[in-house]
Amino acid sequence: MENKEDDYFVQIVNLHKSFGNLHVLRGVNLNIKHRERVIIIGPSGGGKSTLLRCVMGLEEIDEGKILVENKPYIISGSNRKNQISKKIQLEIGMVFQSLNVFPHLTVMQNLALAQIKVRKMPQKETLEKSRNLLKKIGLEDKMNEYPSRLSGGQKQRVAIARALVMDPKIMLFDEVTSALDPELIKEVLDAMKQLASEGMTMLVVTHEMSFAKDVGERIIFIDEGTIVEEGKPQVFFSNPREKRTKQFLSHFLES
Amino acid sequence: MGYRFSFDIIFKNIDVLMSGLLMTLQITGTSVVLGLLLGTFVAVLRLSGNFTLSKVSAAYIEFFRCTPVLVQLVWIFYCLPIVLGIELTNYISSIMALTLYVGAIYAEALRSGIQGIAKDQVDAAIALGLSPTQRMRYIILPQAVRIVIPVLLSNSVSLFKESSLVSTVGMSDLMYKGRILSAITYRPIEILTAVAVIYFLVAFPVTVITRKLEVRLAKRLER
Repeated sequence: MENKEDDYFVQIVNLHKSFGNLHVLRGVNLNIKHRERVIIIGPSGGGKSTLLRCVMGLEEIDEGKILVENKPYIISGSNRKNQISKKIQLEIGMVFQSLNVFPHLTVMQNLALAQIKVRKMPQKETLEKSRNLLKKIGLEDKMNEYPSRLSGGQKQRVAIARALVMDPKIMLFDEVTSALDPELIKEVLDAMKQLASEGMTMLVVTHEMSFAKDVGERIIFIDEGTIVEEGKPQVFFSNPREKRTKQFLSHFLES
Repeated sequence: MGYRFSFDIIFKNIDVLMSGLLMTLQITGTSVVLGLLLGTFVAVLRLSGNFTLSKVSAAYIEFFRCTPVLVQLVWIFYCLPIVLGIELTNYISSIMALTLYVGAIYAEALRSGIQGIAKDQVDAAIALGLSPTQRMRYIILPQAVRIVIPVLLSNSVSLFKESSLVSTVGMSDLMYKGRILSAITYRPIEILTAVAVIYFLVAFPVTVITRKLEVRLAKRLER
């Protein structure tokens, strides 16, 4: 255990998760500081997405715990039922790989729904806040459109705004550009860079290595359910220690 | 010598047939509305995750889907009063039978619609902090209903036709009026043809609208 653990915003302790016989996360320990930007890379099926989904509370964890600001957030309990603090869960926002804006709601309604139903904010305040955020990400003119009229990149930006409008203290990004056409990736990464520059705490799973170098303060390499290696981007990319890391990174150098 | 058709018999009695149609529409409409409420409720229970509730609603759905409506109707009209010791008018029995029947059909359609909503929609809703009830109400059901509206409409057209069975318990619907007129006028071919045409004129436009809706709704829900 680190001696300055009070400074950590999120502490993930000995996290285990299996799907049937598949042991996907095998004791992950990860601490994230306030305003830190942590990038997770690694091969498909290594457990990156599962880790993020566990932190969001979308999967029941089998063993371990997650603390937020030293308060218990998710604790593994007996017979696979987790104790989860719904209040802390609200401080976490997530954007997914699949373009999952709500297709039956307009862009504005996508942003407003949870503010009104979960945060119980008054309508007028909600609309104003949503509009300001849409203006900031350059989608104000799409406010009353349905998602079917938007490009993939615009949908992901709406998904980012939908999470941000709830005032999360940390944002999780799960391969948010993987489902996009190449020409649409930049606008989404730019929105994330903007967010990073504003000091948001971020945990990002991505295959965009240049983004990882630019934005990441710490790179985590996950394979076969464990953290194989981690380090500052300059060191990590130029001088990886582990064989598996070198192997993985070589795929990206070739292309 | 051939049969001599006499179609003016229809026009002479058109008001009788129309009053029958009105009753048919009233019974169908009432059963559709009640059936939708029942079907939604049952579909949600079916997928509630609660073992007992889920099994009970599955049993209800399968029972009413797999037995003839005529038997259900006769059973409710003749047997239920004996079993429960209460009198049911034929109107109440008819509405009850058709509602229970179509409720099961609707429930099954809605269940498939609800399950057709991708899990990533639910994930997004959980991440935003929506409770299970809120997720069902604001995210899943609205999308499921849009997906299954064409199916529900086509089920309702079937119900409209099957409602002719209520004539067997003495409801004076379109079918019943047709049969009475046939007997009185000795003109069953003309009268029953007219009855069929009237059913068709109501049902056909609805099926056309259903097809158009199907295309439009599919476009709307594209992602």
